[in-house]
Amino acid sequence: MTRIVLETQGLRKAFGGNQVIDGIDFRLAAGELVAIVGPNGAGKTSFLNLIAGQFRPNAGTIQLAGADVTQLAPNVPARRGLFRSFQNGGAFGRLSAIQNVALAGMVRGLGRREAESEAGKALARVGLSPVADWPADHLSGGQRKLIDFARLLLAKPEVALLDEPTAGVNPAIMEVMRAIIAEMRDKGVGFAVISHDLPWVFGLCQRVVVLASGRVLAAGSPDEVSADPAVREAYLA
Amino acid sequence: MTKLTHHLVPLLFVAAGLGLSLIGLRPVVADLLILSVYYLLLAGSWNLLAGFAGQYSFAHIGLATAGAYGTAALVIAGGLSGWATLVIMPLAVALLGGGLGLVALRVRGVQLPLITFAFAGAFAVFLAAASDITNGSMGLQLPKLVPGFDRSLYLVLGGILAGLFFIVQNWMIDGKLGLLMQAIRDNEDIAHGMGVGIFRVKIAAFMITAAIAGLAGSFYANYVGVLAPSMLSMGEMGYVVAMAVIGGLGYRYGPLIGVVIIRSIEYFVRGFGAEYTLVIITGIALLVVLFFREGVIAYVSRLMPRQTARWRS
Repeated sequence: MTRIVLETQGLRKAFGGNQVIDGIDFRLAAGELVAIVGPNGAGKTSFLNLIAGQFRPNAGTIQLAGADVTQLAPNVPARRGLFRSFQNGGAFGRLSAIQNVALAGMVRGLGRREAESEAGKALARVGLSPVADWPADHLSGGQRKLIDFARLLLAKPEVALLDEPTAGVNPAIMEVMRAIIAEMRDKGVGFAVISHDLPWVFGLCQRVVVLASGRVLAAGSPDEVSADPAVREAYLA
Repeated sequence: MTKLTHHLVPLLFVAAGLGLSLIGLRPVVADLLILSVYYLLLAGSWNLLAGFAGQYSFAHIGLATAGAYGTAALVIAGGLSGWATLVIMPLAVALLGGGLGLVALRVRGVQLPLITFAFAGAFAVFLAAASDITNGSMGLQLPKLVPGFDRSLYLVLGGILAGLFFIVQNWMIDGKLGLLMQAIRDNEDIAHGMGVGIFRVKIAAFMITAAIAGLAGSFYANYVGVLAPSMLSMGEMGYVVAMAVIGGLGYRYGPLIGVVIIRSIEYFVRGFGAEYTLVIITGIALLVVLFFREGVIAYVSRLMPRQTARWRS
């Protein structure tokens, strides 16, 4: 049986009276890619925030590679092999592209020089070599999202959570992203990817989890969930 | 500027200190330069904390004052030489800064300036109130580093301390810590999510910059030789902040430019009296904020982007 790298059980989170995550059970195996889809406000990003430690859950547990990380600060799961990208790109505005990427290697224990050398290679892979020394503030939205992918290459995680990586990016960049994800997935990295670009993400994933109102509305293969009447009503229609 | 230039800057300051000590400057100019080193250490270290790590602390002048009064305590009550205090006080103030950071750095946003402001205020009140120890506003008197008053010694020492500051600054900014600090400054949540131990980095930045403030205070005490609670005023803190901001916050040589600008103005308008100096500097600060938002050095670096590409980091 394949190794489970991420598992949540009964995960719940409320802000005041607003129950944003209402009991999510979720499993991700090594080398598996699960698409997380659902209408706006379904709780997709909040779910990633809970796993990554940005939010502390009110109930439930989170296991990362077999170890409990439920109430830990976000830097701890990150150091234990969890990678997370942000919806609007996670670049540090005044740092150069190469410095932005090198940080992902430095938190893994690399020295600055070594991390910057690896970052240079990762930037070449995503096609950002010409702008490696530019401050991230001067990059376009799509380029900032590619910084996340260069970081992903350096971070060498066990689990990667990607939050709408393709929103607002052109087809060529989407293809670069697809190739990196496929390569890392084949090496055993588990991916949970939020996306509204269903053809793109369905082309990559083995399984789809549909969230609505903080709960799992449906789960299964892309074909199964696409045919599910509840999903069609809540999201696809 | 290349990395090599950054490494030459400390040498330049040591050479300048030596050179100036030999040419027999007028006392008023020598005093201006020596005290400028005090402000360079303060504005420079505050820039590392606020401009590079994004932590806006107003305890800096309080930490320098602690360094100065600690120096007085060690020399007067402890019988130590002033030279020893230049080593001991940076370490002691680093610990004090670390202790303050343990409390103050747990908060974010406007709360950090508030807590550190309160610390400085309380410390100022203590210095004035504990007059049996501090001699209140009458002040404490310290002997000079060597008998007699030889300004050339302080010019050399000032050059060395300024050089030392730039060595520490290069080590920080070009090393791992500097990059982690800047990541926290730009976006703390994302840095945390990437695995950066936010609190440890902030404490490290706080302690190192506190050590520099402690060194500045000890240098001040050993040079000026008279300590009064007025050393710790929010006006002085504003002065240090103004130097960093006018020069260019978050730029390696911003505070240096700020110190040069403000201390030069002070020199040329000194005939008008201290109050007018402050009014003039405030006016200039307003102009800089209006026309050179990121400071004078940012403006220059936009005029010459290629030559100045490495000024910021």
